[in-house]
Amino acid sequence: MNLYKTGVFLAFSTLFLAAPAVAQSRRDVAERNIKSCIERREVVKKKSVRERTTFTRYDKEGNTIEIIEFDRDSVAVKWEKNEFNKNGDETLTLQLDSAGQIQRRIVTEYERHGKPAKRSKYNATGELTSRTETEYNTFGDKVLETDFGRDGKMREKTVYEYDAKGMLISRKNYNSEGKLTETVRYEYEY
Amino acid sequence: MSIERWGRVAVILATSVSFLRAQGQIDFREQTNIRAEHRFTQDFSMAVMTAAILTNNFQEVGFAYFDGGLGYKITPNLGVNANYRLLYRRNLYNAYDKRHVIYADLDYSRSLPGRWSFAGTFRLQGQFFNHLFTEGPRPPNFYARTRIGLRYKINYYWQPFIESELFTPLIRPKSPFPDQVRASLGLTYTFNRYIRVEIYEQLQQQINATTNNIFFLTAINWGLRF
Repeated sequence: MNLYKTGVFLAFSTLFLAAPAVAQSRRDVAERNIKSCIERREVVKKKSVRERTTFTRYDKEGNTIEIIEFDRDSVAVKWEKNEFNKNGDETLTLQLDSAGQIQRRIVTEYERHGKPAKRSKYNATGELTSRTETEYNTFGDKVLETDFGRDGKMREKTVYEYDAKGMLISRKNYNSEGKLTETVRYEYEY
Repeated sequence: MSIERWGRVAVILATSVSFLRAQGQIDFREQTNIRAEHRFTQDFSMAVMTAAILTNNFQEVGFAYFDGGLGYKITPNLGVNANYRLLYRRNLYNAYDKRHVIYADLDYSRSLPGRWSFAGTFRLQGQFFNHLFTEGPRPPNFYARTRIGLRYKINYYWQPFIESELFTPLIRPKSPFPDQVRASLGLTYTFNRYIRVEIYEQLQQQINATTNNIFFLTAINWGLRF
């Protein structure tokens, strides 16, 4: 029975996780001049049916500029607006409440080669709540990610290491005191 | 393929070679080249290169050169570099004449749909005889070289490619028309991000000249990055 439950759980998880992966690509959307899309989802559970409607709006480049998720009573449970630069990278994300008020603002800045360098998060009143800075090596691989709190002090640091073929071989997390808190290692068979 | 068909192909090839021979000298050459690059940042890099070219049907070292240069990446697709080359060329007395070459490249590359990628280089070069920047026994020559190529990425390791290059003389040329074309067919093998090797066969054809020589170059280029 437990095995059956696990199977059902995995099937649903896969369905949810796979959904964005099977969605149309930015290029598909742009080529067809699609302005918006409505996705209606019904998840059948044992005694109930969960309904979700997602409205997605695109710009001319096929970027998702607005996404609103409604429950069965047409109340917005998730609302996001995005802005992009000319390379199609997300520069601004606004997270709104059901009344359309800004709850969170995320600003992403990119380095010269188009990789994210700095991500700042602001609350509803416009105060900085956290900032993440990313550094890259000369091959363009992410080697350091540092997370700062609202006071500007380092909260967490992640160091990435790569093998000679450019594959990630370790990820190490450090806390605000510089103490190693987690290590993940990857081994590849070539 | 039947024997008759093979026979026809042989006749066509033989006729073609005779025709080419009538145009000028044919020489089979071999080049071994080692290039080492160091990146200071994602944008700035320094490279040194050395090469030896066997000429006269692989019998003698006809050319040897040593390069050094600096590169800068303007965008992820566009880069420039400036280089100096000290070139030794074997003369008729089996001694080596020294030449100085300075050149600057504008490199463009971009990925194409699928596993294809395109690369193009526009090079301006000046070659000085014996003395750099001054006229030696012969006046310096200047060229614009345009190279374009296509690559196909089979996987991380293997990449076949084709390239073609056109040499156009500049500044007081004997003739304003291009005087050399090159076409290459090759294969790149990437060991890892620090070592790669490139093997190619190149046809070098002189054109619009009194003797339109043809050179078949077999090249092996090693690329090191550190």
